[in-house]
Amino acid sequence: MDLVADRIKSGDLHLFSLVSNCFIFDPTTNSVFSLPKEDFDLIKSGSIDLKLSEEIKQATQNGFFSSLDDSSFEDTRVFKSLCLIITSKCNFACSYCFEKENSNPPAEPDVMSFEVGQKALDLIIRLSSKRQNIEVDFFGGEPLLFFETVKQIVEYGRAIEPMYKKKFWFSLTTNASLVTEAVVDFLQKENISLILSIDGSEKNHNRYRTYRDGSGTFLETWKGIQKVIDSGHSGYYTRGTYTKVTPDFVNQVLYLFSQGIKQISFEPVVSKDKDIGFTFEDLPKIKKQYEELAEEYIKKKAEKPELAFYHFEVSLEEGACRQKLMTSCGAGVEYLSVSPSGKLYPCHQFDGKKEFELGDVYLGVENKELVEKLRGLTMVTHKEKCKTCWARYLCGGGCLANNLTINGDLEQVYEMGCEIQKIRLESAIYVQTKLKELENHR
Amino acid sequence: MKKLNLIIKGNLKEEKRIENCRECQTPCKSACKTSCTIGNQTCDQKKKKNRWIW
Repeated sequence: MDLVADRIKSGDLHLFSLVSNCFIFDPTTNSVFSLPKEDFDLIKSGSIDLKLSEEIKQATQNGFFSSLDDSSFEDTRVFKSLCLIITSKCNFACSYCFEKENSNPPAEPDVMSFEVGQKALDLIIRLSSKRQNIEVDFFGGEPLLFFETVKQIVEYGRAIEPMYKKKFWFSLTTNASLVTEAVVDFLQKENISLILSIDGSEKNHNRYRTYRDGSGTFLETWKGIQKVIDSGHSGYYTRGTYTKVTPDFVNQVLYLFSQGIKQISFEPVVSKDKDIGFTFEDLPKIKKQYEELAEEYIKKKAEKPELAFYHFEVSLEEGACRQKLMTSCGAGVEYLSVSPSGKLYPCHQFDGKKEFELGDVYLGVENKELVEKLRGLTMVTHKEKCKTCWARYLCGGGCLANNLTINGDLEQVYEMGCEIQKIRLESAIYVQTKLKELENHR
Repeated sequence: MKKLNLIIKGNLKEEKRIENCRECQTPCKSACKTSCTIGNQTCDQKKKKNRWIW
């Protein structure tokens, strides 16, 4: 039992059960084992069967449950990813949106000019050194309010790609209400990924996603999404938010699948507002929802393998490398957010926060001190809470902006986020094991 | 009969690949960017060329 207890403590072995199935997850290889329920219960009670103990010992000798040598990490990260905040203006006024709190000082433009976008691409090309792939997301506000600027920036990117031997991977995050045939045609032609915001059924969606006059936005949103579905554009995800008031995301996800949407992401709101933000008492309810969705999802995938609930699609067999998994988000190290006026921030959630300004698209990244701080904060091995967490190589550490939103401190972990992440990952691992079994039986 | 049965063999310790090429997507943990959990990422060396990003 000592070996198992020791590995659980060091975060190198995770024991969990879900829907009467018992598992041991090995975070050091991303492998999953099953074990009989009586053995699971025995371990939980602090004991272990001799045969199982021997098998775990053998697996350890074969490289499982053995810590990775994180000391060999070589930090080669350079900036290679941009978020272009095309505008802070939006035709919606969703009550839970963080962007409205990030309003730029009135003296600054709230619409990005083509020149700023152009300078931002030039800058990321310089900063990205030998990296070939560069990601650029168009964000807002609502970026499609200024679709012509988006088009111009994409066209500029495509024109300079061969000169610098780079490849731009563009994406666009939108509320979908301004999606037209012309927009979809352009996005498809340019291989631009889409993130479409919708909270599920009309009633659920209209609860928070409203116009300024309080009326619901569902109908216009749905029209736009329907255009994307009809076009056959495969590179899209719909993205919804659930809150304390609307925790029933299972039915929302199933509703969206039933409407022909194939790829869905649903996220918990991050808010200090007691009316909508989650507290620890909500965790059993959230866990039940993910477990229920996992069961439904497995059935749906058996019929339609092309469906995807983003958070269950973890890559255990073809995932990123160890060095990559040791770093979390790219904020201020690989990723830069560009405000409409051209100021640089570590990520879109820091937009307009003076103390996090890193420079601008003309002079580049000047606040090296903050970059160095973020370099440390975005490494799993630098975070006490993450070092021995079994989920560390799947999660990569939490969102710094969430830490700031909830705790007012970049370094103080948003613990609710950790708990929800772990619940979601257990369900994801369970789903992957069941899908693997289905695959083996085909 | 074995008690411990391997269902999925993860690739975290796979040796035959170049590590740290950093060509895969930069993850964003923010929910509004659909919380691009690194666990969702596929190694760029195994990815189809026509990839999508989130």
